[in-house]
Amino acid sequence: MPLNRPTASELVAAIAAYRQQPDADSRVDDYYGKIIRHLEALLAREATLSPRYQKNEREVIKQSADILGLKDSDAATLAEAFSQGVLPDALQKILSLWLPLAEEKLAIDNPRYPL
Amino acid sequence: MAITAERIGQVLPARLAGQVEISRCRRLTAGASADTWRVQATLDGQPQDWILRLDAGAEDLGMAPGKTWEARAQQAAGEAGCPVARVVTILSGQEGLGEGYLMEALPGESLPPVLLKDDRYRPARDGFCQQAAQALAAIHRTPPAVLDGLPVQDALTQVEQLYAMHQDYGEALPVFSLVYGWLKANAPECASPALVHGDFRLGNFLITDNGLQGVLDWELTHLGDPMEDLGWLCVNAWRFGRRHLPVAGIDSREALYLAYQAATGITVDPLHARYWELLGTFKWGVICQYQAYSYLRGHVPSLERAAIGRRVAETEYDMLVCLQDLTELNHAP
Repeated sequence: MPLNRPTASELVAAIAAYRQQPDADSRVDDYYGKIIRHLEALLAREATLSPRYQKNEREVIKQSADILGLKDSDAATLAEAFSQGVLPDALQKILSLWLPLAEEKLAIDNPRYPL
Repeated sequence: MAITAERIGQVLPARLAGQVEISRCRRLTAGASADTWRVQATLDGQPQDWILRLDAGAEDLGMAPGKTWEARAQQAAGEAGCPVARVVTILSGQEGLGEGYLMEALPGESLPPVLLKDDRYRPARDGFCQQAAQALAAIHRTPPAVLDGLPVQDALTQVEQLYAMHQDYGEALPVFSLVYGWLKANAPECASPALVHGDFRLGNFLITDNGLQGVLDWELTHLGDPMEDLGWLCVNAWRFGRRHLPVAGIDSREALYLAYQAATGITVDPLHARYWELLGTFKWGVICQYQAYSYLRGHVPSLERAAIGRRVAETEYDMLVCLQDLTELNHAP
């Protein structure tokens, strides 16, 4: 479950592009101002929290690959195996690994999201 | 050719029987899939308040049947008893405005935060499940024969279509793949496809203090599994922060299921309805990706679209919660 796109650098570029050509309507510009403040806060959280998140993500992917008996433990291999379907017992174990990781990702992307 | 009020004023009167005088015509929204205008006029001297909905022609998730089908489904559901705006005329595209339709304007509020918080709408919230269920019952009893040719989209068709879209974005997101694998393996059959609204959620209802006045936005209508509409109504994105109230942030699933049973005589299988809730959450996740990639691929240079990409994390969490609930329901005695 890598951090989603747009990546941090893509978001920085998107904010810069808007600032170069802001909307002429002040109400619309205020709305985009809120979006920019939201994204800047997200970027600050990502800078702080993403190293730990990525470390935990690697561990969850490895443990999930072990549960499924996969030789390789990378996100793409795991996604391919998941797409083939997972047996109920393994599914319970996998859900218990991925739900906390999803919460950790929300702590970066939207910590106010009601859980 | 760009649609203007002048162009509408030239074209519309010729489509209507009677003497039409347009007094005001203004654009309400230019959305991703529809261009909506409010038209005030007289018809044979009688004042009219109309909504003109035109195909924006810009974006299509590949799930919309087109404005003619949208209008026909709305008409047919209205005839079956669903509260909808009466369709005045359907535009085929030959007239010079593109595909679209003209309907009567209805009173009411559609903004979810207002409907969920304003005390004025408390009685409407109290009666919401019953009225929503009655509207759904009418939609689902609409004879499919009158909509012969409207595409059938069963669960498996949608799951495969959405996963293909997800894969096209090229991100390996194991949660999407986990959910796809489960949805594919557990897809319910749809032996008797019914009319499905396809976007039955808060935001697409006009509500007054007297309750539900109209079901709007039929652009994702199709034939399929009626439980799809119940599941979509409960998707967490449409609870607007009220996770503990699954039905539009207003009521419990049990209240909706019982109201639907009372309106249709059909007992709702919670596993079946919750399957569609998971599929709906999966769909919303892919739609968030679609919007983000419309920015990333340079189709829509909007900062808002870029920001939506980081809401995919919300849908990943919601999918996992839904899937966990489903596995627990599956093992319940």
